[in-house]
Amino acid sequence: MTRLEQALKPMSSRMKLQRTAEWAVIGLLVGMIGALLMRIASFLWLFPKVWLWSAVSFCGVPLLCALISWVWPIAVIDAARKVDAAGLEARLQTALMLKESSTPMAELQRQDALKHLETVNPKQIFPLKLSRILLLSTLTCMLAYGLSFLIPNPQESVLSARAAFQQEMTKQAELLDEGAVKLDATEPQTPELRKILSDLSMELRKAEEPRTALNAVDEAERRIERLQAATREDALSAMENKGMSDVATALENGDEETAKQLLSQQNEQNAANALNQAARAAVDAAAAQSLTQAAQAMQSGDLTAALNALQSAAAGTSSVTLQAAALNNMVRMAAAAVGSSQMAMMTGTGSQNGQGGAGSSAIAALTGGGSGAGKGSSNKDGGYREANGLSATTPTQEGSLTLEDYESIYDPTRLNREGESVQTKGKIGEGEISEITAGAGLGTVEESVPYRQVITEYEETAVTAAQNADLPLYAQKWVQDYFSALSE
Amino acid sequence: MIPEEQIESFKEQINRIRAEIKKEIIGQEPVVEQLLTAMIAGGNVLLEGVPGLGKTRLVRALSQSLELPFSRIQFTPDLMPADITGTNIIVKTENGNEFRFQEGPLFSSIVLADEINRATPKTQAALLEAMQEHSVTVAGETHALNEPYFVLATQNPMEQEGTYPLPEAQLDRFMLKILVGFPNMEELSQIVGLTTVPQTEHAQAAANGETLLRLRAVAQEVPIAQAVREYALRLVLWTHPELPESPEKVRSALRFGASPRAAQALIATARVRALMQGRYNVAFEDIEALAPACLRHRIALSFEGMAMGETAEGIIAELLKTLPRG
Repeated sequence: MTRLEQALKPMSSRMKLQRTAEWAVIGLLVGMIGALLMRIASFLWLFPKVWLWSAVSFCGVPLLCALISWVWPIAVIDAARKVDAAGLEARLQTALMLKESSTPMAELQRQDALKHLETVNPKQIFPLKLSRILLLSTLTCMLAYGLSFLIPNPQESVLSARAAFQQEMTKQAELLDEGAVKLDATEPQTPELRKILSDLSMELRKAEEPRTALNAVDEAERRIERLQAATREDALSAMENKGMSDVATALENGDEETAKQLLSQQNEQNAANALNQAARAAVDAAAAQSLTQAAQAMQSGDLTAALNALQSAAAGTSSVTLQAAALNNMVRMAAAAVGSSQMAMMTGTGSQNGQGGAGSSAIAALTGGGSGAGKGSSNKDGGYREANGLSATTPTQEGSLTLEDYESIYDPTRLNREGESVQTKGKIGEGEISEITAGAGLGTVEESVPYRQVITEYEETAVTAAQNADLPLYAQKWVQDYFSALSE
Repeated sequence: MIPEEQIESFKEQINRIRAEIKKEIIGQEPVVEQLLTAMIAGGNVLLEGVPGLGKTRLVRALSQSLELPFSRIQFTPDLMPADITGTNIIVKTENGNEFRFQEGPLFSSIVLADEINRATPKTQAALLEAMQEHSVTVAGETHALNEPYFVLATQNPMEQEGTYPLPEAQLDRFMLKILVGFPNMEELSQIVGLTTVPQTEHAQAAANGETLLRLRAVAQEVPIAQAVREYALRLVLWTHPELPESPEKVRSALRFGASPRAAQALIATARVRALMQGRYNVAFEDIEALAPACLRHRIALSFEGMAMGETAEGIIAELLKTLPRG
């Protein structure tokens, strides 16, 4: 390094310091503008963790700018130019140009440049004084950003509802994972069921909105349904092929009494042999296991156990426990949680956390609770009632729906027909009531049409509408069951 | 390689010459400085000023202080080229009559061409070779002129009738065009005091032709930084209205711009000025100080420029204001 370059080092350092301060303030301004724009964007669109990005912009950008400036070297010639511009009249630039020259003129010029350089104060040439416009602009942005917090953000409620939804989905996913672990490892269907639950759990964790979660639940239900259907068809087909077609038919129709009667009429050993053969012929492992269990029960004379095993096979499961039912319940708990979260998001009331208990009871059922085989849980609506302000403990019988059930499930507007519609939130007599009077429905005030004349049409329309509305299978079944009950 | 002593003594030499000139000329320091600058740089000068400002006296003082032969040519419309270059005359010798070349007033070191714009273009053209080549060709024979050689021409800005404006080609051969201004009250008082009484002190020789040539050699060694050089070149280029990077004012007000001689003149004179200022390098300030003198006679206003009331000085000032350094 030449004497001149050595003498210019303090200038370069001071110039770098000045530049760093300048860039830091510019970075701060840019960061503040970025934060402000993000804040404005968060009012118009959903912007999760806007506070984090704002902090990154506000703190990170100036730091980054300052770091870049500090690291980026200052060329000696640039420092020379700046110092020359402060009154040295191109002495330094010329001296740097002649640094390799040894002519008398070059030597004189160099000495002259060094002599004048000594008279220059770096702090005077490179003051740490920042542009007033820059500082004012930065302060203005900061003020604007601060003031923006006084304005209520309409997106925040959506974001918090979404966060609550995702939290609920995570909880449901954990319940599903817990349930999957507790499944009976000896059962043939268990690996597949665990996969279904695991996939559902993953989808729920990823779901950002209720529709995605509902689709995942729907898919899980369909997969369970297909699995159970395969077992059922295989078991019944094997039984039919081995001379037990009448028992298979009774089981298929759900006629428990007839099936029991037919079994009791049969020779135990012969029945056991037929069932064993059917088990051997069965392709599905779960079907084979159920048929084997039935054969063993028949051999030991336990008709009830044999019937239970055959009912499991007909239901498409491999166990006399409530594993399948509990499994379906778990899936429905998740769907109910999605539904209640969706409702909460729509009404802005935040997620109603009513599903954890129901989910836990479903898991408890896996470890030994419950009775009946493959018929579903005691809580028919899977928590929906609780989520909608109804008592979760109100017992319901199959086929009889109370006015409260009607209120919570049936919404005539879904039938896409004109008519009176009343929407209520919660029980009648409590909460807000909004009444919408639409156009005239079928008939007139003077006339009345017996409901049996129109019930079939209503039922078809309702079922079609439920399917088109993309509801989960269990919800579609509710609609179907409701109208079936009305028709009876 | 110029020895260090010579370089360091440059300013001292110039100051000595200045001091001698000051004995004859009151004020006009910028004019004297620019004149000296051009002479040391090896260029010719066009002095423009009203009569009676001491232009002839200045040139005479210069020749005295530099101990250089001086000749004055008063240009008139009837002046012929042969009158200034010289001609062959018949001389009676022992061997009979023969032609001998009789040198004209051009054969001097410092030639004062007074009121050059009063001579015909033909006579003006006779100066061209002398100014550029430092030689004169008569009847096919070229005669070299002395070195150093300077042509200092004068013209009156007021008298325009019966004059022949110098062609651009000839104007371009003048390194600088110096405007001689009217003295102020104090200077006028001193002038009157000096010239209306017997002069006791006259300019003495402070240097000679050889010294001048040495000073020129020293000046040619002065380094110029790349940024400063480019500044000078860009300044000359921006005087051209046909270039897209030229300022709007230039494109509308000028007919044509300066030639490469302007760039040569700028840098050569800037080198001299740097040394005169006690610096050993050319600075932006040197270019800016000499730009008007180098460019004012090399650019021409367009009709639009004249109609807008623009002047060459104004255009040059605008250029210096807008052209960025470095």
